[in-house]
Amino acid sequence: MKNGEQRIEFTLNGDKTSVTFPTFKTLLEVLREELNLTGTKHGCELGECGACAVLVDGKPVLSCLMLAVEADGTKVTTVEGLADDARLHPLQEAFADCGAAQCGYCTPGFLCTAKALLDKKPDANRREISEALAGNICRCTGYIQIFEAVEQAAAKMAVKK
Amino acid sequence: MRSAVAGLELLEPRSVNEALRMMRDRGPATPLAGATDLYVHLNSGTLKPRRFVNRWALDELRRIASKRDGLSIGALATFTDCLRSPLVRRRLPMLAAAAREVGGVQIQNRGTLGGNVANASPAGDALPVLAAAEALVVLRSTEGERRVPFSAFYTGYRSTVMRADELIVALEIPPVAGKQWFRKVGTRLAQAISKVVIAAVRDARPRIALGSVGPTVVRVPRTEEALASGASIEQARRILEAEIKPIDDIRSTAAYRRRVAGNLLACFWKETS
Amino acid sequence: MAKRTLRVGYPGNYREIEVDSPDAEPAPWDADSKLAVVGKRSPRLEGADKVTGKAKYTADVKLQGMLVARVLRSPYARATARSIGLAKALKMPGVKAAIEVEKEARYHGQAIAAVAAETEAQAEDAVAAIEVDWAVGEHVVDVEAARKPNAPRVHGGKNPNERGGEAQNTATEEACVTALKKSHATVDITFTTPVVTHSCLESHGSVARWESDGSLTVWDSTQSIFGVRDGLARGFQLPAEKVRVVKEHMGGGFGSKLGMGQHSMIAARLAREAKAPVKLMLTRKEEHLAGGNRPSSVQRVRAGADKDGKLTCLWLQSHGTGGINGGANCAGPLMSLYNCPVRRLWHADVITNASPAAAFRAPGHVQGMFALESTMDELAGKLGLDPIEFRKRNDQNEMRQAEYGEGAKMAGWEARAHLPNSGGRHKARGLGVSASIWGGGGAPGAQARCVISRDGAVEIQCGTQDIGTGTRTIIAMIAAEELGLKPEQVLVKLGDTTLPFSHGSGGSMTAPSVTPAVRAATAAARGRVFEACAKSLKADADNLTAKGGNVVAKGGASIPWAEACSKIAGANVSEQATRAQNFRGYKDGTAGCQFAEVEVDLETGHVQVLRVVAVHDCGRVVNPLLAESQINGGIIQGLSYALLEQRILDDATGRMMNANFSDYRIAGPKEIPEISVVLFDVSNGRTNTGVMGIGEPPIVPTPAAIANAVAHAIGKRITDLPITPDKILAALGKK
Repeated sequence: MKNGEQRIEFTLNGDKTSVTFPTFKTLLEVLREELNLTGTKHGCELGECGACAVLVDGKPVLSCLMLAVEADGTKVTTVEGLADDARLHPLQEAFADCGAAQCGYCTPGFLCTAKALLDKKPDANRREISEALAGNICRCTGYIQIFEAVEQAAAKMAVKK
Repeated sequence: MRSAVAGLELLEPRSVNEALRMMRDRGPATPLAGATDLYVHLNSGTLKPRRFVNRWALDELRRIASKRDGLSIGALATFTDCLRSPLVRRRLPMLAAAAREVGGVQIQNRGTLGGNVANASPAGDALPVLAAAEALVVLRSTEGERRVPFSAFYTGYRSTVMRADELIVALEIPPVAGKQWFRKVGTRLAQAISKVVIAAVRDARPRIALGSVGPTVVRVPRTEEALASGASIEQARRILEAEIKPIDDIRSTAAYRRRVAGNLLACFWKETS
Repeated sequence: MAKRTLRVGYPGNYREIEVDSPDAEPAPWDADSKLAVVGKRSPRLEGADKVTGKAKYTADVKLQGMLVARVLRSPYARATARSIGLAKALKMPGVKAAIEVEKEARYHGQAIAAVAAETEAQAEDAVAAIEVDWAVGEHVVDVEAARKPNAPRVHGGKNPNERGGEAQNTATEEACVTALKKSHATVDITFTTPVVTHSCLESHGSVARWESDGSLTVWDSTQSIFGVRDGLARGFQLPAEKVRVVKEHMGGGFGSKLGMGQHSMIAARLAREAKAPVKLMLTRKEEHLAGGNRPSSVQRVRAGADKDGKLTCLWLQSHGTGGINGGANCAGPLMSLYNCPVRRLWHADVITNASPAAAFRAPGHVQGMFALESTMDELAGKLGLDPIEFRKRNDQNEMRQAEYGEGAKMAGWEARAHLPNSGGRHKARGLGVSASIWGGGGAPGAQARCVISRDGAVEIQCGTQDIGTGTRTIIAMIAAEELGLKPEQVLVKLGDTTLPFSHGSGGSMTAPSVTPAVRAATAAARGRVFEACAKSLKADADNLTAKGGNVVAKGGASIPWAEACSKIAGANVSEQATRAQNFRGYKDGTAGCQFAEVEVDLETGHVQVLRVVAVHDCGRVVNPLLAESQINGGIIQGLSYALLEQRILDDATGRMMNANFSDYRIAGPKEIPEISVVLFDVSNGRTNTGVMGIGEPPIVPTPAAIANAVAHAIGKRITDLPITPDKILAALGKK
């Protein structure tokens, strides 16, 4: 480890992972550049668009505003870790089916944020959905299909239980 | 444009005492927690500090506890913590309301109450709540602890009475009697910076605090007095509009802020009657 | 050319027409065509890639030895770099190349120099080390100030800051004055609209790599791979074949990514200098400062109508600016939507020290429709006519007439005078309407190739690009329709200039330009399969059809698709087709209208759009799921434009004050109304598919419909966009 570098160990998408990186890299940069997980996107880097949202210990956070150092010892889930092996998470299926991913660039951030919502509140209504997703911006879909996808996933998950 | 990162230094204390020693011995250093404000400066190239003390891991500062009939909220309690805490919801519902209005859920999960106070923005969403609740800011250094009344904490635009070796460790809220009320008018419905934010307590001695209408969060004693002494809401509103000193900026106009502040005062009065 | 009789029109209104279509093409689809795939809701083929993070965007491209570039941008609105010192930057750790880009800065954010380094942090540190000796000049960013005779000349010397004049074939001022004098009702209103930025979630960017043979490969977040190719070829004086441009997925464009951007040249220059691949993605701030914008407008509309509610005069005098390249003519709607005997247009593009404008979803039309349709409501008010009735009296488009009927029913137009009100006297509701108009008929020249292999695999190759709209999916659907297969059985290759040519994706042109070529190529390749398998079916190739995964003979005999393809001699059949000219069909252009219902908070001035009813047509709807998505997206961009967005420049410094997403607000999840979409399926007989574009039409009417709803709610008209709360309260204050 060179001067000005840090090493952390954490659980990334279910796998024990250790990684070394320059201290001031954000979690977003370490995910994309050091760990080649490019599903998580750069949108604004100022915490204003939600494109970089990932789950840290189950809670959505903006990986552009978080030092990777602080992920040490945590469980991080990115869009690449939402599917159960080859089986898509119901949210992923619904986003694809409902046309909620248009250009698709904001989709990973929406998916991670929506997952945290449904984990906590499986029967979330439209108002709760828009509240939970209020930190995410989409410039293509007009959000309607995103809301519908979250509702469809919630319904599907309720049936499974 | 990111700030140059070559010369930045991050210190990672394992305890509050170690953090305090770092603040004393290795200053000037800037305390860092959720970094939701600080990293905006790093990423937009406007970061001035070079050395940081990362206290995110100091869980002992995250506690929300009952203190007599009031509350003690650790500086590292996040807005999500405040929002979900039954104690906060029961004793200081206007703080829960304010926490809900901070950024989106992602920011609520990382942004801390102590950070909101230390960042000293006149638009800080939680600050009018702390002002109206007459909170005490608990500051600690290696030399000991002191409690500063919230109304004496800010000395001007983005400046506070904190010394360079001090950390905010908690906010103490005395018991609040009377109905609490909070409202934020932002540039958008969510994830927005406020144009006017108001927190108020309806009591024999009404307490009203506003953000985004001056260089710091403000209490409005003349308006409060008028209401306490039985003035009509129309009179109080005129006093308020003269008492606050909003400015025109890119988010709104002074005229708008003054008028909306008056309208919100009237709403508060009506809805808490 | 073959004469073909087609049944065209829309439900409830069909007629037969005769068109000339090329012999080689399949007969155009018309109202009688029974289609199995086209017209069905069908999810995007790349959906799974987009929801798992597998989809690769330009920002995600990572090449062996790739460097990262950063750009030094002018902090001044007008300045000359007497010198640009790169020496210090070049000595910084990790830096591999540094170049000068431009010495004359004419706007805040103009690229001046650039560096490439091993890491982003190194590149940023190096940019900070570039030494520029600035001579700061005088700037002007305000549109009115720039028009003054003594204003600093943006392009120097004697170049005027204003280019304008009256349009050709336009009535004289005297004719207008006379017509207005004779009118029963007149209005004279000046409307203003702001400069807004595209704010694509993925910024502009390129990755450039020079190959050992001297050719150049560029991955680019672009709406026009061939445009970028040609731009780079010109820039480096290379034959076009020596430049390859690739774009698999992109994070939004909305017009700002048409043609080559400066970043592509910078990345390629740095890559050549550094002898290594270079990635340059703009930051959010750069995106606002230099990524393009919709120009502002100041539109004075004078209009009149007679006692019968017929327009007598429409007179538009307008000017506007985006920055150093001027503004946009926004007269499209006013000059074409309504019947009017006297029409006059005078427009000037104003040049200011601000970043250049770019095409933005229905250029000019969004600004122009806001002014025109606000004017129509004001006139209707003066005439005492219902706004829809007044529009219908002046609009000859039968489709829009029908669309008004459908929309009014859904929006509850009849109950407009008695809208319920959730907040008592602190809230006010309003319902407004606006017409839409756009072209979107497509252009000839797009090419597609269909390759069918012996194993039955089908591949469509087309050098178009899917900018998120679903082009990949509708191409597969068109081919699947021709072949009796499912869309997911068709492999679509696009986004690469090594494929057959197609145009840039702008002007709602992609679907109408590409689908006829795809259909023609697929039909031709299918013909070759039929010839190969006819013998096994003991039938004539002409008597075969492909449906339900089989090739079927007239008599009923059939064999599975794969078996039919196994009869191909050689590895595959491959047919290429080029899209023909539009036929003289039923209708050109698209109509449409939208209704918006708003609730205004009279205490804060906040406007919440509760509901939008959007009635649109785009010829044959290939995939309603995707079309609705375009409409929803257009509406929300229109809502955002009407209520939230504006570029704010500081007059004193010429700098943009809100180059981020916290002070440049775009609509988020909580601003979203309920949206009801009605699509009129129109058989227009203009191409072999009859498909038209729907990218632009849905943003055109939204701001006007919202503005009309706000005026209905509060009884005051806001003529200056965006309709921010302070304007509402100010208007309410004026009793």
